[in-house]
Amino acid sequence: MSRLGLEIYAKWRTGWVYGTRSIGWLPLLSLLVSVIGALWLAVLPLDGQYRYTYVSENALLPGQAHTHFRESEWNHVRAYKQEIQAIVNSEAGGHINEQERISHVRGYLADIGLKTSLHEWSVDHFSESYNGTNVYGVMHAPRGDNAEAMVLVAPWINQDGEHNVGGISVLIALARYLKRWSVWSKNIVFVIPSDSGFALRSWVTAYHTSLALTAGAIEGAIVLDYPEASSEHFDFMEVFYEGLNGQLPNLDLINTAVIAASTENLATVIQGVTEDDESFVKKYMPESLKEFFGNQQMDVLNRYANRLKIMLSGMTRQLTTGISNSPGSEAFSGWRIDAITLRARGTTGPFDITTFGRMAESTLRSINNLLEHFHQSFFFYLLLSPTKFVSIGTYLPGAVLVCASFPLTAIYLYATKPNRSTSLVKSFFIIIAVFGACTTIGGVLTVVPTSAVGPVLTSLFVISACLPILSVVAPSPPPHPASAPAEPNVTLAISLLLHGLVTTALATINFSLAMVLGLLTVAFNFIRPGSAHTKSNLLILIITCPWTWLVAVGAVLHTSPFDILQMLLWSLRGNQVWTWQVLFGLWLPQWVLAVIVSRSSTPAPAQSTVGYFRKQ
Amino acid sequence: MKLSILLCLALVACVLGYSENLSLRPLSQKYLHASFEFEAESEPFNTHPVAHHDEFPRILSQIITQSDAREIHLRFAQGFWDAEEWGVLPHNGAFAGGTGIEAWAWIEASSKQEAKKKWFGLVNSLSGLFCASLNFIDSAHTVEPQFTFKQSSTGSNGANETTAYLFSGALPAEPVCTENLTPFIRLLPCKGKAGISSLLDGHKIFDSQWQGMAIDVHRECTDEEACKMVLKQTVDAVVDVPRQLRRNKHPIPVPLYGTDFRCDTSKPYANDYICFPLGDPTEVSWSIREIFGRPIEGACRIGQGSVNLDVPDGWKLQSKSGEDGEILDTYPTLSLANTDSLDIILSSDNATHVSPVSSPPVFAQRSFSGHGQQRGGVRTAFTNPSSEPVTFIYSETLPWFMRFYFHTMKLKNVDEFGEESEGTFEVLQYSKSVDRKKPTHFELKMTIPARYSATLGYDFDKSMLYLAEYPPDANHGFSIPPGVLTVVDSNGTHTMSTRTTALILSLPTPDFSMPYNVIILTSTVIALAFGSVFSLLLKRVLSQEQADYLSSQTPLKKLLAKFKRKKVTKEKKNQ
Repeated sequence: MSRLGLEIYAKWRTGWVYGTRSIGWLPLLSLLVSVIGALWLAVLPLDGQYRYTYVSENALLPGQAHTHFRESEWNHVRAYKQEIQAIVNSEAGGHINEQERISHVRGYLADIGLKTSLHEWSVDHFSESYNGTNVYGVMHAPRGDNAEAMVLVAPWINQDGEHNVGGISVLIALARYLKRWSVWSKNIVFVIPSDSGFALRSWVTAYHTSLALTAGAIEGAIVLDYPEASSEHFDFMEVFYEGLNGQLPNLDLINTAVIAASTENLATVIQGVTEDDESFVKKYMPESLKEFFGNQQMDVLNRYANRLKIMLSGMTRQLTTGISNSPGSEAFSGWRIDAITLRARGTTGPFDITTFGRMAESTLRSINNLLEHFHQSFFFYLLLSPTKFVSIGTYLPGAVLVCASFPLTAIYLYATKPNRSTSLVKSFFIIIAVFGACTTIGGVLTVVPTSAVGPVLTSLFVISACLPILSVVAPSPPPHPASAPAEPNVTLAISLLLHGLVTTALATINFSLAMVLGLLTVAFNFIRPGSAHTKSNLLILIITCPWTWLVAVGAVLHTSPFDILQMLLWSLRGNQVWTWQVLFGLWLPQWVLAVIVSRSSTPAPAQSTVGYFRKQ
Repeated sequence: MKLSILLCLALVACVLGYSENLSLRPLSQKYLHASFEFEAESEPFNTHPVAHHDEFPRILSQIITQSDAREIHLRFAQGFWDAEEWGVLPHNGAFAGGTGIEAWAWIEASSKQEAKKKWFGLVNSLSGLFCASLNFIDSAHTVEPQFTFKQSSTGSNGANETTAYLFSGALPAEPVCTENLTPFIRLLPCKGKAGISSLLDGHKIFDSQWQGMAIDVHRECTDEEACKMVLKQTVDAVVDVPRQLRRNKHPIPVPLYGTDFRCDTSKPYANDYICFPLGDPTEVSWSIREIFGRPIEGACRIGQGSVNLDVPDGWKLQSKSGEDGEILDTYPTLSLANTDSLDIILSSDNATHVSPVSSPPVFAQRSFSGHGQQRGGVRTAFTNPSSEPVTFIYSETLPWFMRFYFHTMKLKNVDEFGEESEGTFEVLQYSKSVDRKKPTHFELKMTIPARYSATLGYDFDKSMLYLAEYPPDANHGFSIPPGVLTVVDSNGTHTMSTRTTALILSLPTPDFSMPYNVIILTSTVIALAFGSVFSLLLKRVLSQEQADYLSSQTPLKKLLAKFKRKKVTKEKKNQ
């Protein structure tokens, strides 16, 4: 039994206070709560725990309008596809430069009768620069009030770095076709950004700050992605919906696209997985067990496993969108614009490129019906399949439970601190100093040239690696009676309380980030100051270290941790993703505090706590 | 006899003041601008307002008498006027309004309070007359511009020299539709049965790219102490000709058949399955029957009617009189004389060749900047494409819930090489908003140098409204009236006016089901608290013995006790 445990046992035996029994259970409760929190996620995809999606905004009328982008319109799509493919080829062959390419594309939109304009963008950091030129055209709604707009986007280069030939040709053909309708109540903006990442993000920012040609408040946006140039057929439609910093579009928009697809018997897929795929359960379960469950039970299990997989990969995408992948729709995050990316998948299916265009047409018709901005339905949800979801009320307890484990430990640590008369000021001072230092380092790294980031980070890595080792190797400083040091228990308690508070708040904004961060740092709960816990502390410090996880993620993705940090930095510059700040402003300082606390020794009690409590 | 009556009628028509004119002007990019103008004059009157009503509508006359209005201007507009392609607005913007409805009037009164009261009466009457929500123009929507508008009333015989107060209001969110067109047509002497007004079919007029209606009443006085009211009604529409013609064939734009395709066969890949679309054919031929759904149903015999065709050389103009009349070549100016229906056919080998448009001296584009529910900004870009500086008055009205910061207003000039500099503007008038009572209103005068563009920017805070102040469909946002831009020349004459677009401002909007949740929750809490407190107050606090005693004194208990006692005595007896 550890020293702390003995102390508590002793206090309990001496009849300390009535609540001692429960305080003694707090660490266990904290562990229990975090385990329940983690298991909560596994419960969500169970039958009966999720709900089926439904269209909340009656005005949308998804799939009700008859779509006519078909038959002979295909001939035009084919022609535009030929044109775009020719431009791609001649650009690759060096026959035309970027400016000529842009003027060609702009010409197609202008010929249709749209007001066109260019937007030159760049995301710079010292000598490094991402830049390009976006083309866009505005179709003014006939007799519209010119105050609202919908956006249709086809990036020149899609999220996988492929030329989006199909998407752009569908976009131009749609522009021509939609111009013939007089039903529009909102303007339609057709955008061809140079890529789906920074280019589109810069365009959206410029639309709200500096562009001369604008078309009013954007109510919704659809990004088209059809990179398969060889075939004009596809199997199913994939929908990407994750935004930046954990933001999601209104669920009604996804529902609209899904319903539009289902009216044509087109299957919609999210996260690349369908419920009926062969899951790991079916793959790896021994035959004997399979026989034991029987076919029907196996199907239920298989579907559950797939829903779990969709949910978890949805959370992963929520965490990484804007950092490592950018389907395009995330560029609209933060401007109160709901956006989704539609992507055609496969080459052999019964659906043709005009079906894909009809999906955009039908969804635009629905958005066009909206009188109010998207506001009904859900903004916080986890999708388990295109038609099944879990809303915030059901999933949030998971993250809250994990995050609640920190304050529970904090209460325990504070209640069992050996020294009654310690001042909180010193602990606060240490915490503020560590947070300040880490945030400053994080802030400085965002403004220094990339060449300087490497050395700074390397030294940080080294120092961080040394810190836990130091805490083992170096003898703990003896307690100094003259200047009572900050009590490690109290420091840890306050830092854990803070951690719990911030991660819980974070969970309501960015559930995935809070959940992952909470789970990765849950071991902070088991750090105990003092040399008696050196080995367990060292293990905890290693598994909660941000660098450990950066290296681990890097190993999985076959990149160096520096590259991941660079991605975080660029996502901050170009996409305003604040995961970097969470790393340097929350995780790292908490970890440094844990290191400091774990190597400091508990000062000797100045007076009997037992007596103090008795007086109460 | 018949002839003499006709002659008589014609004479009367000449004497009495009513005229109508339709002018058709093909624009570039396959559009057609149709402009209907109707002008009616009242009988001259001296001191008392009009007594007889021939052409001048009696209902308007009554409203004018009631409200003591010297001038009334009403604008209905919808759509986007493409100034780059179509040039200045029709009539230099004199009869064009911003999106939605706009109204302004000069009211004669001895004091401003009195005038304002009459103004509210006036907009309420107009609201009923034109089936528009003009009654929503209350004090929070009313401004008093001093420089943007000028009186059209002329003459100085005393009648126009009394004090008149100008009030103006705009409702940008008001949709303009057939219910506004019908009362408009009813004011005309021929009421859409004859004359050019017979072309005003809501289905066709409102299926246009841009459309505006205007009603203007002003007073003209001569030196002989006689005044008359002049009513001008205009309808302007920009029609997408190919779409209109296509809709006659296919009401919805279904895919075309192969035979109707216009493909670029010069493309190397061109075949039966791949068709690079060519634009609309440059060879056009259409008639007003195809565009407006019917021909002109003969002349409106009260007054004079004419049709003006503004086309350059190369266009062929033909007309057809009657149902099965001959198609004859015609002049660009036609005067409507008989009761036969008249169809006009325009055709050209090169429809892109149109009459030159006069480029506007300044372009204006306004949009919101910033994001979030707390604050925002407005950015208005003015571009002077000409080689001469342009001076104009720019006026904006901002609702009170847009908390405008005057000190943040900045003008940034950018010359043709992209060099930026601080611009200056003169504040002609600024009236600060009062919550729920008065909007912010300012009129600025600025000069943009040749080939410069300038950006006027300012910041504002969004305020929270009371629950009841949110309109239905609150998440739509609030429409901000268009800015009015009036170009002035060196003499101070207004040469052109235009409007910026309306904006949609999204304010922090509550979840409207939330108040009900709150009401239910608080009611439950109050019921619980009340219940317990109520029972505490009414119940007496007693000791156990007292309570036992009191409970034993109830009639039921007494009865029971009696039985018990009897039982006990019986048992005792038995023993």
